[in-house]
Amino acid sequence: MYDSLLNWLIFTPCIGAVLCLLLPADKAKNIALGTTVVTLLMTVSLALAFKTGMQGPQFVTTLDWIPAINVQYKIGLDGLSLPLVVLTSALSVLVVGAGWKIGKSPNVFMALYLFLMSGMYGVFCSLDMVLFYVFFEISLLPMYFLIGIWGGPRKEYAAIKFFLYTLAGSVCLLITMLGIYNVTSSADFINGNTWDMMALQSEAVQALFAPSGEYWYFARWAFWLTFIAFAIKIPVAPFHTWLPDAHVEAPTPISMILAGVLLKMGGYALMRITYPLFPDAASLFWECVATIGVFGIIYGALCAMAQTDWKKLVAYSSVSHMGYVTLGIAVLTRTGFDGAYYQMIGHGITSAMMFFLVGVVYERAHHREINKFGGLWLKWPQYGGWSMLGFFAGMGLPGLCGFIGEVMVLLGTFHAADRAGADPTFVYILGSFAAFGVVLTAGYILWMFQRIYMGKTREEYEHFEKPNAREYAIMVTLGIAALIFGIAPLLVFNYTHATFENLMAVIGLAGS
Amino acid sequence: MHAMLTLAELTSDQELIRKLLFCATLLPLVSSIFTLFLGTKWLKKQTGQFAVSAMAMSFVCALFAAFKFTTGDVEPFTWAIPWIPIPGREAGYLYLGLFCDQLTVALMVMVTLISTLVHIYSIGYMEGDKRYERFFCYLSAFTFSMLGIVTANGLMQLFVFWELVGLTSYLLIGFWFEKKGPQQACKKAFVMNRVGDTGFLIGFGILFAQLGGKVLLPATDGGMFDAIAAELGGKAEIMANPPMWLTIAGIGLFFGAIGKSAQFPLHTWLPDAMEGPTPVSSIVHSATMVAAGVYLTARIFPILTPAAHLFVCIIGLITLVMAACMAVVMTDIKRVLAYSTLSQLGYMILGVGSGAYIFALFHLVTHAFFKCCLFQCSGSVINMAHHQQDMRYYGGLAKKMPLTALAYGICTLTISGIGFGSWSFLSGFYSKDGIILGSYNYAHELGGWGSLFLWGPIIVAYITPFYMARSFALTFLGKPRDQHLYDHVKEAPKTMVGPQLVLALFAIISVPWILPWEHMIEMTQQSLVANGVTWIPGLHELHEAHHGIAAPLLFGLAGLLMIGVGIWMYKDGFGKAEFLLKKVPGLKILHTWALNKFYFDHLYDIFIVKMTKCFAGICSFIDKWGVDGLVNVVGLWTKGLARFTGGFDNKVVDGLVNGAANSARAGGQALRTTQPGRIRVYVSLLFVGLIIALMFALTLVAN
Amino acid sequence: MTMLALFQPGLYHLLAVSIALLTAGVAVILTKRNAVGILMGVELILNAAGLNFVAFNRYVWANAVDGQMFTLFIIVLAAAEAAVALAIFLNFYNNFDTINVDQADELQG
Repeated sequence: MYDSLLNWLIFTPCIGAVLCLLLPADKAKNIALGTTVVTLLMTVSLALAFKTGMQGPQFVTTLDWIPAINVQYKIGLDGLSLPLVVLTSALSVLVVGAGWKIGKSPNVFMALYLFLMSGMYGVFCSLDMVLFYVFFEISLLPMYFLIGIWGGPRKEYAAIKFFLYTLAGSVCLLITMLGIYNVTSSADFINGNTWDMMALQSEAVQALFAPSGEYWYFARWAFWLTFIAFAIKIPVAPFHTWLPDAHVEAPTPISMILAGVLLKMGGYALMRITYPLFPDAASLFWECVATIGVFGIIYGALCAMAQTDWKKLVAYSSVSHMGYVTLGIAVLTRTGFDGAYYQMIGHGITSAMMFFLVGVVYERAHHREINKFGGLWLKWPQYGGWSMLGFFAGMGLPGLCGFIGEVMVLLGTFHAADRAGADPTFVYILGSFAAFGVVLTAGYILWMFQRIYMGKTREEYEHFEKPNAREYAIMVTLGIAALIFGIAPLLVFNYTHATFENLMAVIGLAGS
Repeated sequence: MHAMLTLAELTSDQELIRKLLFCATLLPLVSSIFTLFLGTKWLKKQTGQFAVSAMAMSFVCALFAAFKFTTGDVEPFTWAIPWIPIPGREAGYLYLGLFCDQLTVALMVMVTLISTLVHIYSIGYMEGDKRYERFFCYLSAFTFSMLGIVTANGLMQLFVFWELVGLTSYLLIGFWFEKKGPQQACKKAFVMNRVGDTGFLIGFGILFAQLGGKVLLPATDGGMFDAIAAELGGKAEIMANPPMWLTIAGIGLFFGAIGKSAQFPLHTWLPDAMEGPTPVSSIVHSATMVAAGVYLTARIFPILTPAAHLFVCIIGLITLVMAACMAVVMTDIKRVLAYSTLSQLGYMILGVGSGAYIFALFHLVTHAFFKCCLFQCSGSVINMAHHQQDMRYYGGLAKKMPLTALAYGICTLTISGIGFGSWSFLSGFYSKDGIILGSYNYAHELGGWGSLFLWGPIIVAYITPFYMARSFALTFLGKPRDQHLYDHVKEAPKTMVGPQLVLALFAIISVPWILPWEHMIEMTQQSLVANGVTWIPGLHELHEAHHGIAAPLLFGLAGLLMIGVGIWMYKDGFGKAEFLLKKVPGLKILHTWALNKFYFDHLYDIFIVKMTKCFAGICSFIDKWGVDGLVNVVGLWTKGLARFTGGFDNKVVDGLVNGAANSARAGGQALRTTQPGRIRVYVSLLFVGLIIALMFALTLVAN
Repeated sequence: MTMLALFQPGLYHLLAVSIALLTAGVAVILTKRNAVGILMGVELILNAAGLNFVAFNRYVWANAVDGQMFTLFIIVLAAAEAAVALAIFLNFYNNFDTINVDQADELQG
């Protein structure tokens, strides 16, 4: 029963989307809300039925799709995907709420958004590489239109840039996939060629990609190709420049889902594909990847500091925060992996909240120039309070969800010092720079907070209407989530624990 | 998941204490949340009373726990629940919990008591403020965080609450966020604390890398680091053969303390933090939060290496001397107290670094009382003087507010460390004397230039009474310098005067009555010997020698002398001081320097803030024109290439097809001239053709 | 071959007459501007062709009547052609008030 529920979860949004298009336009919002609530309920029941101790995927459906090249329709949930699926479902409801006032053809908007949801669920649930690739691409297209049609002044530029940039990454992925497919044909111990992710993690395939293996040269290239493919999605500096543009131009709900879920696909795919498939290449190049991660942290924070566009600042903060994800994965320690994963969940909550907070003001002020604001806290004390919660959660204040990921990544980084082959001095320097990112983060968030919220209310904002109940509901939900996940990280780790254990064994770092 | 840590079963007494401490810690939090959500709607003007009663209950719990702990002869204990998983290390988790030993209960009592008094004081001070309810919310939240630091059972939990006090401090400094000053000050405080925290995280990370999960384990009997120190062969071994990484880790952790306790070079935020309401200054920025750095340094004492000790001492010494100099020249009453706080914190840090860490903690407690009281008194004056903080407009206020003057006077005497021989009725004497004793020993150990560590604190022991007497004289003595202001001043309301007097009382009695002096010497010696600190072999003897002769001469009576000088100089305003400034060469420059805080703010503004912003600008520029520019260039190139191939397609590939058509057309054009439409032409051509054909046929036939 | 034989009417004489007719017809077509004149020239050429058919039939395949048949066809054709041509000329005259063929260059390529 639950197996089919997972299938329904992926395709229910599609049904909703079709309904949105068929029924009168003014019904679209209600249909979308209904669909997202239904998927949320489905997700919750899946989470309740999920066996936390199991390492492998659960609720697996396997169907032949393109038998000629052994492509399967294979989906399932494991500890790596479940929390992200829950995050997607929960955010989806809020995003529909945030998009309640979309003026221009709301039915198309909602339909595209629901298609996007299907794509996201598909990415997180696929266990077959081709299927994964298909969903990965499917999620691009609605996003392109959502930014390109409902976006700001430079929406076409941003949409094209987003689309092409990500597509360039997908090409790298495609090349690797084709390579892997060919390689597996030479592994006669497997039943023919395969795209099955679980089969690809088997020792038989791993042996081919090991330094002593036949395809070591390929593995090194493939590692970098897949890394770049997903690094663009994360985004890792210097592949990040599509992000600020996309965020600045995208409407608020789309920014929320873009930062909240779509970026996580990159980190998820690194953990799901790149690292388990090419662990030896990963450990060969770990210093380089970790340096890229730390660079992203510092660089993103510095760029954020220089922005005068509020939304761009938040966008760059995403670059900085996702640097921790890269770093946590790169250092190849269990704590780092856990931390990176938690950072993704935490960032999913905080970034969505930050973008929403910006959106609430933007809707009223019609500009985002930080220096032209002031005194919002005085004007709307409650909004100010929730804003503080949101931004401070982004800053990584203990007790809020940003902290746990950051501190685990930092500890995981230092932990790498006693891994074989790691130079402690290098690790310490790396960790120090990563820790220094904390100061810069505080710097740009507090400076922004001061300029926007503190001070006397400016005259032009005196007539502002208060945020309404719908907006408060979204803020409060996200704020409480930030608080809960900052206090009780085990809520997530209970689900991920067994899978990560397995993942570490695959990467060859069991027990470290 | 991972195997849980098994902790010793708690006895019933311990269990009771645990619950009491729990209540004491969580009550302020509950009160804070309650006032946050219901303050403006339900409680309104009763918020203050509500918060005070919650704090009072918390105090009672803490007091009861302390009573139980000391009388019941209860062993220190620890209690923890797993929080964040750190897989693959023996601890397996970061723990949240509670560690209880003598220091914990003592500080619990101190913090809850001071917090209760400050809450009461705030009812008077904040009366009429438009965010009256919110103030109590923040204040209670701060108290909760502070208690969290005190009860933390591991470094990481300490760090969590450490950040939370940072947050609440940020909120409280920026309480009047409409004004520019508080905005800047609260941001500055937070960011500078974060700089220290970075050091903390790095230090902790290095420890974690080297020692593994042991640093995550909840504290055991001897405190947070005894087990770790034991792992490294004990303090003696650490002192003898210090590993390099441990020095770095120790200094890193100490950086956290530098930030929080506003030590040089991160000291500049504390004077600015005076922009917050005075009750905040009295609890957050003098009594409790800033002392947390000292608390941390004392907790990490077991793993400090000799180099780290030296570093700690140098930082303490610089802060101590520098801040005292600045306190002498300030005219803003709160700033005088702020620099005095810095200086006293420098004493404490120096105390910990030089090995007399029990005295440092002791000074922490005594200082908390008298400095809190001093701030409250200054707050009363400021409040009555319509927020005029400049002492140049005060004078002669003792007549108007005698009780406040009394409390201020008592605390001035206490902070000056007045004593007679080896006896005093004031707690400040004992604690400061202990620290100077420690630094004396340390100077003795170092020899040579190390004697700076002795002379620095002693000189400052002379300066302290002077600037305190100066502020007292300028405020309360002499003739009023601003008659208008003077006319409006009256004694502060009971809610403000009451706490001041209670605190003044505690400033007198806090230590000699609670913990005997000799006992403390014993404790220090024991713990140091146990920790293998070599430079205090004959502490007791040294104490005798030092205390018997030098101490009374050096500062017991000297304190009185300097107070006299201070009062004599400033009783009638600035006249004598200005005369001195004119006459004594070089003093003017020193005065200007000190008045400008030795230009640290300028220095940081130029070299750190501006440079970071500039760097951020460069990064952003590179991002826009470099990285993104590259992307755009790639885009443009692709576009250009597309144009080129498009042109090729148009001109060449399609050109072939069009060319065929064109040549056909041209051919037609040429041939059309042969078709003029005249029958005669056609016919003649026909015949010409016919003739040609015939001739051709004939030639063929002929051949 | 004697001189007499030379004057004996035979194929070549007939062919000579035919050539003369043809040449005359062509000359008429080339020189006349009047459409009717040209038509007459065409008639001459047709007749030249008809004479050829009869002549060859008589001297080459004496027993056959194919040549005569074709000549009959040509006469009919000439009549039909004349009828059509005159109709065209009439129309041409109606439109252009002339039957000068040099004026009829509307179809010039």
